[in-house]
Order: sequence, then C-alpha cells, then structure tokens
Amino acid sequence: MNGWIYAYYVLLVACFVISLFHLDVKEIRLLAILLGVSIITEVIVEIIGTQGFAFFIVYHFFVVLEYSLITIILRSGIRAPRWRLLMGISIIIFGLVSLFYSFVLGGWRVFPGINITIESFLVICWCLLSFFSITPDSEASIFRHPFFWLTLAFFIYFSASMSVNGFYNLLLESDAHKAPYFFAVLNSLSNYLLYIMLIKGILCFRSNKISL
Amino acid sequence: MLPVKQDLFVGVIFISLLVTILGLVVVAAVINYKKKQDAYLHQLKLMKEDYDKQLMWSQIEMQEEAFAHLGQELHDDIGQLLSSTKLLINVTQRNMSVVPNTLRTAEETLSTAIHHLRALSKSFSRQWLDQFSLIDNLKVEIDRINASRAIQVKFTYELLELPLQAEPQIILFRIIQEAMQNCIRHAQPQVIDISIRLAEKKLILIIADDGAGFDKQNMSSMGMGIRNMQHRTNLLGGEIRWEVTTAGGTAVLITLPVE
Repeated sequence: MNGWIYAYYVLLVACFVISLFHLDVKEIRLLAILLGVSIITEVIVEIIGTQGFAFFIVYHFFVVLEYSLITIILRSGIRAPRWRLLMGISIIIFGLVSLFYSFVLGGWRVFPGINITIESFLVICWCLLSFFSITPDSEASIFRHPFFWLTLAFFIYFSASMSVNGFYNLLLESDAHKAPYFFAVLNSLSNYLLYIMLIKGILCFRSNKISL
Repeated sequence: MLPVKQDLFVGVIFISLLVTILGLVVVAAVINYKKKQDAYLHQLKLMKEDYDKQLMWSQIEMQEEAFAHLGQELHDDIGQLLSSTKLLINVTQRNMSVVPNTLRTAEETLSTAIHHLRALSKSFSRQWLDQFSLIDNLKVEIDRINASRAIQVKFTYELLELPLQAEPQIILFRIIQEAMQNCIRHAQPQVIDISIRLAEKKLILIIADDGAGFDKQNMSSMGMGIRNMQHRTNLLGGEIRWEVTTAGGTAVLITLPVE
C-alpha cells in the first residue's frame, strides 16, 4: 500500500509536539496525554508485532484509556451538571464493560472491534452534545472556538470509524481484495482530518489566550 | 464479487452519505451557536444601556446634590454678608442728614444683588427642585437674560404644565440652559427663539438662534457640552439634533416621548 496512507503518523507526532507548548491549558494537557499514549501504543504494537506476539491486547487497554481521556476533554466544555455526571459515570461503566468483554467474553487475542464500536457510538453522542453546548462569550464566530474544532475532530474520526467498522464485513463479502484497501484509505483520511483539526483546536486555545 | 464500477458506486454513495450527515450536523451546530450568540449580544447591549443609564442618573444626582449644597452656602454665607452690609448702609443713611446719590445707588444695587442671590440659591434648593416646573423656571431664566438687553429671548409654549415628572423636567431644563449658553458663547446671536409644543404623544422643543451657525462636519469634536446634552436626552428616551436654519443660524431640536 502507498506510504501516504500511513503518513498521518507524522501528523500525530506533530500534533503531540505542538500540544507540549501549551500545557498550561487543562484540555491541551489531557490531549497531550492522549496523543502521547497513542504514540506509545503504536510503538509497542510495532515492537510486539514484529516479534510475532499477539499485540491486540495493547488495543484492549488503549480503547479504555482513549475513551476516558476523550470524554474528560469533551466534558470540560459542557456546563450542564446532569450531562457532566452522566459522562463521568459512563467512563467507569465503559471501562468495566470493555475490560469484562475483552478478558471474559471476547478474548484479548482478537481485535477489540465491539469495544471500539461501542466507544465510537458513545463518543459520537458526546460530540453531538458538545456541539450544541458551545456557548458564545464574545462576537467571535464558532470557528474560533477551540471546542468546536476538538469536537469536530473526534466527531469525524469516530463517525468514519464506526461506519467503516459497521460496513467492513459487507465490503469483505462483496470484494475481499479491495475491502482492506478501502478500509485503509478511509481510516487514513479520518486520521488526517483528526490531527489537522486537533492542531487547529490547539491553535485556537492559543489565540484566545493571546487576545485575553 | 461486484463489478468494479458497482464497487466504486457503492463506495461513492457510502462516502457521500457520511459526508452529508456530518455536514448537516455541523451546519445545525453553527446555526444553534449563532442563535445563542445573537441572544447573548442582545443581552450584553441591554446591560450596557442599563449601566450607562444608572451611571448618568448617579452623575445627575451628584450634580444636583452639589448644587443644593452650593445654594445653601450662597444663602447662609454670602447672603448673610450682603444682608449685613445692606443693614449697615441703612443705619448710615439714617444717621446722615443728606444721603448722597451714590449711597442710595449702592443700597439699591445691594438689594438687587440680594434678590438675585436668593433666586439663584432657591434654584439650587432640593425642596424647590422637587416641585420643579420647567415652564416657570425657563421664564425666570429668560427674563434674567433679557434683562441684560444684549440678547432677546422669545419663548412660546402651548402647555402651562408639562406631562413630565420633576426630575425629567430638571434634566430638560439643564439641557436648555446648556444649549442657550452654547448659543450665547459661540454664535453671538441677536435673537433666541424657544418653543415647546406637544404633537402625537411627543414633546417637541426647539431652540433656534440667528447667530453664526455651526460646522456640522466637526460637530463630533465639539466637546463635553454637546455629548452631555446627547447623553441626557438619551436618558430621557428622546432624540436631539442640530440643524442649520434658513437664516444661517442654529436650531437645536429635542423630541421626547410623553404619556
């Protein structure tokens, strides 16, 4: 497959480095942790994978950590106490359910497809909530609001991820040869958009801080 | 296995559907944000207007308090001194067989000064202000200016009592005073024409002169007096504007809504 499909890793690293310069903002700190954990996960998977060991176990833990951090980031932009409580509780419940499914029902040697699908569904719900919770505090348009870009980034990524995961088997039945390529293309595209928008969100935090 | 073209077709349909749904969500979010922003900015504007009004009322209140204090001092201090001086002159006159004309003139001038001082002190008094009548006080002010014979002020009015409470009448009086002072200071008119009338639930006040006119382009830089007049008129919920008359002088037009 073409190298450009995996070049989004460069954007991931760039996004992580940019976030390190703005750690005074709580949301960017959490984002930096998430990006750092993503990088570490991918490195571990590469190392374990090349040595022939089952590396999917890393993703079973990564899913829980990813969901927790994304939910905490989105939660900080929501003011309604009931929704914040619900989001907080969902982190614990998802963690328990995901790990239970991984290690009791599904098996840790397989790819955590169900876990990721549930995670995607929940994140999409929180993103929809976050979109409509963005509150104006000046004349600036929504496109200068950092939470808009963070929410859009996660929304696009998880929507694409969930759609492709949902349709993957259908694609595999229709064309087993092309399905992985189609999956890889969509996955790359959503990753590119994810990191570009995350960088935009970080820059919005910075420009809002300067204008204050 | 689906033919290649159908593969592509399914892929395009799928991606189009996904993009459309994402786009619709984003558009809905942007519209929702815009509505919230409009409501927020409107609320901010109302709060600012309310704050400006409160500030203006406080300033006027402080000014009237200062005037009241000044009036009291004029009456108690300077008034007493003048009265004592007049008493001494009277005593001196009684002890003189022939009273010189200069002393008589001095006594008359002193009486006039005491009378004017009492009127001035009364105009600053709070109790008096609470029963304030714009028409009556404007007549007194106009008589005072006309007595100087340098300028002739004409006053026409349809109502004996304005349908306004005492405080708005005081503010309107101060606006008219400011307008007349500006006119006398800058325009050097021969005649000032003041008219007050009621039309369609609006009080219309016009102060027109036959003086030197003004430069409408440079009005914004004319200083605090003009700005004060604008703020006070806005506080009363009215409008003020300046126009050049056909005779080349200036007309100040004030319209106020009244119940």
